[in-house]
Amino acid sequence: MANETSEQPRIEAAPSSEFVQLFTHHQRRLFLYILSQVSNPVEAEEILQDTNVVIWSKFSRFQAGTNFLAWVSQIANFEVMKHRTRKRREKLVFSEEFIQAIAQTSLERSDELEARRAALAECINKLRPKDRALIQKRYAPGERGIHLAEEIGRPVNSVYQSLGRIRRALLECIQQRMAPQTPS
Amino acid sequence: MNPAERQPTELETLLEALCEDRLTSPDAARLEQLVLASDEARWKYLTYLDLHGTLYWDTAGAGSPEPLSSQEMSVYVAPVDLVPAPQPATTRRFTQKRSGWKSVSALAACLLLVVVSAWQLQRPADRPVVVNPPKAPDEPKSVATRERPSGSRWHGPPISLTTTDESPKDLLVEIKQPDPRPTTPHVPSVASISSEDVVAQINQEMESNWAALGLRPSDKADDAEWMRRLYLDLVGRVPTVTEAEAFLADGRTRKRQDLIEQLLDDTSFVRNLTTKWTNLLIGRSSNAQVDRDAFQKFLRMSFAANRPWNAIVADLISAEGNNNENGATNFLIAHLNNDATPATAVTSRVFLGRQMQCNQCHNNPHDETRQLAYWELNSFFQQTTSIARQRRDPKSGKVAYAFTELVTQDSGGPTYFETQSGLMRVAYPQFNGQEVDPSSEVNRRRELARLMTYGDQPQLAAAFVNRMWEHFFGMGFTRVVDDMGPHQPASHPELLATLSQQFIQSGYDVKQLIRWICQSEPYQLSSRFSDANHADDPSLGEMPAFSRMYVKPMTAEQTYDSFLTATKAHQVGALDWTQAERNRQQWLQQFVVNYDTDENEEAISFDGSVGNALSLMNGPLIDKALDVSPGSFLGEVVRQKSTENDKIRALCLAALSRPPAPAELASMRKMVKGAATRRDRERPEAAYQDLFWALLNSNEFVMVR
Repeated sequence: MANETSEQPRIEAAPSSEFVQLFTHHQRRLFLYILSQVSNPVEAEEILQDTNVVIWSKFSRFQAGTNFLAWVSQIANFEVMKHRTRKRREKLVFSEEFIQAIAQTSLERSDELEARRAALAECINKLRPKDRALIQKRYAPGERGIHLAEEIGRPVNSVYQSLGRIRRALLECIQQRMAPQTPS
Repeated sequence: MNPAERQPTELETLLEALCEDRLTSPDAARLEQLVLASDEARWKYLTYLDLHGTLYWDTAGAGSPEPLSSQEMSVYVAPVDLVPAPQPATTRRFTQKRSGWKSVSALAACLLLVVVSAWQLQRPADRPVVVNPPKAPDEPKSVATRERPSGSRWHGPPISLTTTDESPKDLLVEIKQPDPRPTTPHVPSVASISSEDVVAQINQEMESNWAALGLRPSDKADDAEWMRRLYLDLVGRVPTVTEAEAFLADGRTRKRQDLIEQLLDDTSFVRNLTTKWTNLLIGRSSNAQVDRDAFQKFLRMSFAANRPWNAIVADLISAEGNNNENGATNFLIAHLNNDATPATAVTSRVFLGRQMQCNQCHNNPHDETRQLAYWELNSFFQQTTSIARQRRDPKSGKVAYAFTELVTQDSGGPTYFETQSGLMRVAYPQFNGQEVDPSSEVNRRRELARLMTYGDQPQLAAAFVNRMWEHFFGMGFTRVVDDMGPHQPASHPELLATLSQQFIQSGYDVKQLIRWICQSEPYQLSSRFSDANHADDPSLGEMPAFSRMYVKPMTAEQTYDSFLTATKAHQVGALDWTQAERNRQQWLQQFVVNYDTDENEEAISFDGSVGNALSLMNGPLIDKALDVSPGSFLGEVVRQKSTENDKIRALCLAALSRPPAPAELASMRKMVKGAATRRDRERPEAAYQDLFWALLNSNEFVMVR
């Protein structure tokens, strides 16, 4: 009994600066990882928030030098699962099997995805000014996409078509930039 | 051919619909089928969602020629002479979304605050720290990697850092030389005070006190009583049926210890502490200038990281800046009215356990505190002001409130006050006999934070220990938990002093203190009287002897959360954390009464009275609880293929966390049977609805035993 008590792990008071650095550096990656499973950015943000609390409260369990992304994505998986359980009564968009397949691929190719994200900034600059303005409006703070058409006074369908065209153009542009490094 | 101009493929069309939130169920099924069928489609899905998410996260800045890079906000923790990290420059930057995305940017800011402060904690105290928006991002900067010395405790002076885009000068915070007072040599390793020693000290003090008073303590609480108490005290809600069954069936001897550890690790524990301290620090009522969400995020992240209590207090006292971004500022923003008299009174009462509000106008005849001391403390807040900032909405062109900023002005000099005899007197900033330079260059709140929280602070520690003791036992060591002056003798002065000292030694470790309390012998006791402790009754004006557990009424928040847990009503409609917090807040507002006093006093009329009972019984909450539609808790229990006894047992476990006693079971069965024969047979669930309704409205439900 005496031993059991004294062996209790002491909670450390503060995370190391290395941890802090890894944590901040992985925020966007983690968000995108979660988003690939829930597909709704607002939900993904909320799950990220819960995930952060868990990460932060378990910092002492992270072993320096091990794979941080692998560690946090496990925590995120768990939070996604909890979120799905809470949502059970609403309709879930995707099946468990689907989510797992996506999560796995996302982790396997996470560096590739990260490199693509860097290319995106340049590709946005290559858009026609009109297209760039539209995509900026679409993702402006507070915009959910639904009211966009009304705001700019264009038919809803034509706005959706334009957005789709711009996204495809961006993907194509990213693909071209990636091509030299990752021949497919 | 420009690929963007071609017709989209079926997969692309579906992905577009997904991004724009217009995917129908058949669409979703088809998309899933396509994506699972080939690696190529899976990759397409991932890159599409990744593009969508990156655009969302980085928020292409409207109207900016360089949409992404111009919105980047880099935060450095500049180096001193520690080991440089070998990463390339880009790894030290992270992109934050534009403000306006309140939830994310506020969270990020909170995190940063915690991050930066947490980083501070492990630094040697005498090194300057600069947090600085970089002028030249390419300049090599490094972030130190450094192992935290184990068991070290916070010795740096309090600093609050914000990441607003103020001029670099404002962000430059220099750590002053360590306090010149000789600090008592601190015990570097915690090994010398094992958890067990402290618990043994508590037990020993209690036992000798019981012997002296001739009390025989109550029996140990049975598992059900203890488990329900622990859940309510630590995570703020009753256990679920599954949790209760698991604990009751567990035959191991150390299962209580394990449950304590498990719950201390639960995110609900963080939420529960956050709720408690939000109510203590900014109250339950809403104030348009206060960003409650941001404040809770600050507390939540602080408690989640188990930051030292003195560091949290230092941040609250010395916070500056935008209240959406730096949540800690909201504490003072809530209390700056009336010449900061509420700030003075609350700081003294909540952090230091001294009620000074009466001293605003007169000396206290029962206490040595004097009117002058009140105004000396008050003068620390005289440079501080809050400013409501407005922003023009680019769409509508209307100017609207955006956030509140907590600002320290360049002002100095004394504070004037009037004595009862009508004399005008002056007070200079002074705390605990230590004077602070009253000139305008000195940031007084930063000084106050240093004087209040740096190093060994027995009063700060004792106030916290007493507050947490009261949280678990329903009674503090003093009659009024936050009035610990000399006129209020403590029931166990030595134990209070010991615990406060150990709390300081542990580095103001909040979890550790709670662990000691939960493992202590008095916390294991039943709330039933023994044959020889009827005299131990604080409600009769006796000093508490803690020879039994005092029964506590649930707080309004505990009631609400327990209700949701017992009935699984929260599953009816998925909720995220912030939304759940708001719903609860909204429900609570019906009970909150504001008094328009100088101390921003408020009261909660939630006391288990008839009025409360009625609002519970007839509110929408109970309607949801008694819902028997598929998926609801009650519906599942009723439709289960199980015996009547099992159904009744499940309802008792859900509401009371214990199985029914044989006599109770018999009468409940009678009731269920009787109802089933009387009423129409179409609704056999009606009897269970009645039973569950009765259990949820019982006294036992709203009590913490």
